[in-house]
Amino acid sequence: MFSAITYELSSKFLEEHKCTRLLGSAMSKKPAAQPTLHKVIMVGSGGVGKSALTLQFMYDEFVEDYEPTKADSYRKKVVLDGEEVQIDILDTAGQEDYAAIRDNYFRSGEGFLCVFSITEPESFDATQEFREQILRVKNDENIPFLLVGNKSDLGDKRRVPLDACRERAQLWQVPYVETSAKTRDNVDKVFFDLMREIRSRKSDDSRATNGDVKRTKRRKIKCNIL
Amino acid sequence: MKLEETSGLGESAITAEVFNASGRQQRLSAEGGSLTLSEGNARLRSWPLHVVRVKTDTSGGVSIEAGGETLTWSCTDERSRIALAQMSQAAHSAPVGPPSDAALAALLEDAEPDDTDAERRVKRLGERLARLDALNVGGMLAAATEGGGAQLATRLEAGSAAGAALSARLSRLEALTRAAPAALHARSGAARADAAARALLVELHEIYEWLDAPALRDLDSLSEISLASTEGRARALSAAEALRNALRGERTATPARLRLGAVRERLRRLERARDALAAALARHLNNALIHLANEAHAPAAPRRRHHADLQPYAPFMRWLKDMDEKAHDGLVKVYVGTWSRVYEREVHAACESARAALAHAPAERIDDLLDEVLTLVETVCNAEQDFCTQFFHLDVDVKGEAGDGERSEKSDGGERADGRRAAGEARRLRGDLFPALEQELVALVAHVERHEPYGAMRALACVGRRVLGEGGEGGAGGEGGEARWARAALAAVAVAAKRGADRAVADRLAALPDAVKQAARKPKCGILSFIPELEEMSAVCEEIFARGRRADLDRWYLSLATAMLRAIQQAEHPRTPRAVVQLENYHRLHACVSALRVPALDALRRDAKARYADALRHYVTQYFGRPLEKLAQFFEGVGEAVAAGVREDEVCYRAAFSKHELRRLLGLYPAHEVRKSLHRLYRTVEKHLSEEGGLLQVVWRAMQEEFIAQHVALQARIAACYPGAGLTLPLSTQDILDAFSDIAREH
Repeated sequence: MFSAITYELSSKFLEEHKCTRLLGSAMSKKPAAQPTLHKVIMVGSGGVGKSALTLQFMYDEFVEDYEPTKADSYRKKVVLDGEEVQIDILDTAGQEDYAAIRDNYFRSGEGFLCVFSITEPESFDATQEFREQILRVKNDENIPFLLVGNKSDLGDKRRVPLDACRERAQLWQVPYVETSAKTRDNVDKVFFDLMREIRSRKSDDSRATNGDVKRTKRRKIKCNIL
Repeated sequence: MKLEETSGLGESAITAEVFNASGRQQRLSAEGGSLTLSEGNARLRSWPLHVVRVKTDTSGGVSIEAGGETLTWSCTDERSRIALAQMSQAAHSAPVGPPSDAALAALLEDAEPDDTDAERRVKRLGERLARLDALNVGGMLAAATEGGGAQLATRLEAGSAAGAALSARLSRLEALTRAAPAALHARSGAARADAAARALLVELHEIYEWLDAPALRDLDSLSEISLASTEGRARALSAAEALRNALRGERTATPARLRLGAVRERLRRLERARDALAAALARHLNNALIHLANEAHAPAAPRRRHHADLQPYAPFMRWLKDMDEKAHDGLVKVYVGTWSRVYEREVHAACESARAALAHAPAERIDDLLDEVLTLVETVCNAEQDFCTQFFHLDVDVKGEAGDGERSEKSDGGERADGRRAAGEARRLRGDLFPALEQELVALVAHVERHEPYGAMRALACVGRRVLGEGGEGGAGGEGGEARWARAALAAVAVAAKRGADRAVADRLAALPDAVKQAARKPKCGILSFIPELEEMSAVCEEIFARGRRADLDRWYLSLATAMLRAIQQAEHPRTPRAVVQLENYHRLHACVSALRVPALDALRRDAKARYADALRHYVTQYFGRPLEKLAQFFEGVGEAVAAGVREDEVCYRAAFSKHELRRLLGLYPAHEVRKSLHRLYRTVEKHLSEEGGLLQVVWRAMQEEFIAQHVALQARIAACYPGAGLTLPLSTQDILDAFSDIAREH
């Protein structure tokens, strides 16, 4: 009761104060330019732990219950080698009735975490297919990409030999990392490694296009298509 | 004076049955110093015991000599004979007229253990002892009444010496009577005299101890003792204590003692000495206080040296509190008046310098700056409380305690009442010493609150840590807890900070609709500004409250997030569909709440997620039909008819759902038109959704899924309801997937 009155009084008395504060916060928002956004796509068969890895990375939580994902998007500000960046993670469905549906979001991705479960050879096999679709959609052999063997905490149930994983990564010329969404082992590493790759790709691109002039040109072209 | 008359007969009467010459049975009884002769119930004669000589012979004859006359009886029974023997003894030892001191001395000097003369001697001895008693008492009374206070000591001393000599003589007397077996009577007389003399001695000694302690020797110069030196203070203190004990003794002294003129005079003199000493003490302490105050007011004053300087006077304050409450209270007033000003200035300066520092310091420094001020306040309050408790003896009931200076035994109830009284006194003193402390601190908090959006939160976290200790629960804010003076100030700051912080949150709550109005001016609604503001607030506040209690923080989160859910639900935007406003904002709010990882928000988190899913479904189903809108409506009708019981293969016989009608509708959607409308749909979604929402891919994926599912269902419906009619949808499923791939490539 008393606090309610206090609130009421204070909100009246501090009307002016509030306005300046709102102005202040609005002003303070402007100079804080949006940090660079790195778009990461989680791909892989159903049940390999894409969402688990994402939730562990985002909120330091491990959810035991399995609920198939359709698609979900996450954003988080992180400090990557001293630079504040924003990571955008698109967590996708492992089971998609029509692969073509993936085309659009693969297209939007700048880097991929291709996840399988070391306890499930089928999911390892499926990475092949995901890889091919990504390369086709992105039309880029050097797209930032990490092969991720998840569920490393279940070592005794391992059914995908480490050599096979490394061999495949070697073949694709991508890094291979084993993670555990449950124990958080290497979770940050895969996201940060991938962001580093994305970042270095972006700076390569801008160097290749030789500065800002060409970049704006490129953007213009994009706009024309739209 | 209890020089009680002793009788050899003791308490009860002694009686003997005798027969007179004419053979009548009569009774002799000795009682209360007289001998009575009675017959039956009639009292015949009576003599004072000391004038009577009772004689018995072996043949049973009894004779009494009294005043020259002799009476004779015979006594037969054994019991009466023994009684008569006792009576004869009693008569010998009965007290007689006034003896003289010197005569007694002479008597004692030349006394000889002579069997034949013993009776007479003992009689005389008894007489003289009685006289001596009377003389002594008389002399003492005379000395007490006629002598002034100064003379008393000498007289007392003389009396004591006389008493000592007397007791020496008495012991000799005892030895003599012991040596004379026949003079048993003498022994009882001597014992009585001895007891009387001893009692007198004790009495004199007690009075002497009471009223003339050694420390009171220089009674007239007490107030001249220098209190500036340790030695002088020690002397003054012991004299003061002696005075106090002597004057306290008046309360417990017997009325008899207080009736003595010399005692009364002495007490009056002691009182005068007490008043003089109290005045001297008050003067000295007052000067000391004013001197220290002047020092404290001078620039660059040494910090709080005055406690150490005043400490030696603590026993005198206690003495004054007991002996001269007015002087004591006057000193308290001087003390409070001086130091309240010093502290007020000191705290004000600290607050001012904190304010000045705030103007340039980054927001994170607020905590430290406030902490410095609070540290100062806590230090000052604690030191002052400790000092005052000791110096003004707040925790001791000076008046009630026992004379020997130790705390008297008290029942629990008494102690509690005592505690309350002391607490009340301490509270009053605190209020007088720090009258403006709380206002000053509250003003500082208000300044901090105005200075920085999270100022109140920072202040709350800072003071919360102090009040509750690091990590929230359990801390006591230093030993002593609630009763510490600093606590009250800290509590006031905590309340002010909490109100300020709640106000800041209330401002945010009140500003939620403003964010919606702001968004209306933008081409797309996007994320309503209050959600990033909540994210910012949580980032700042998590840091602010990292080391302390976060209950308030969680409460704010809950009220803000709950209000935001409501605001999102009600939000409207001129160009963005409500479903998009909702799905984007619920999604972002869910992400924000999830990132907080506060258990109290779990239900809200689930709620936000469910609302997001609802909004997404609503948006997708609302827009998916657009590319084939009329067809979609047509098949909706078909579906309803089938649901109402029409057989699928008979639906086409209804005019509204005829093959002809379907063919007409299909004609409206040539394949390239459908493709175009899919592209258009994508662009619409892209237009609705904001960049910062980041949900384009999620929504488009759901759209694709929904469209294909719908398409497949329509195909199945056509196959079931219009079999063999050669009717197909303009695009195959693969065409649609290809169209989606095209869209992906193009955007």
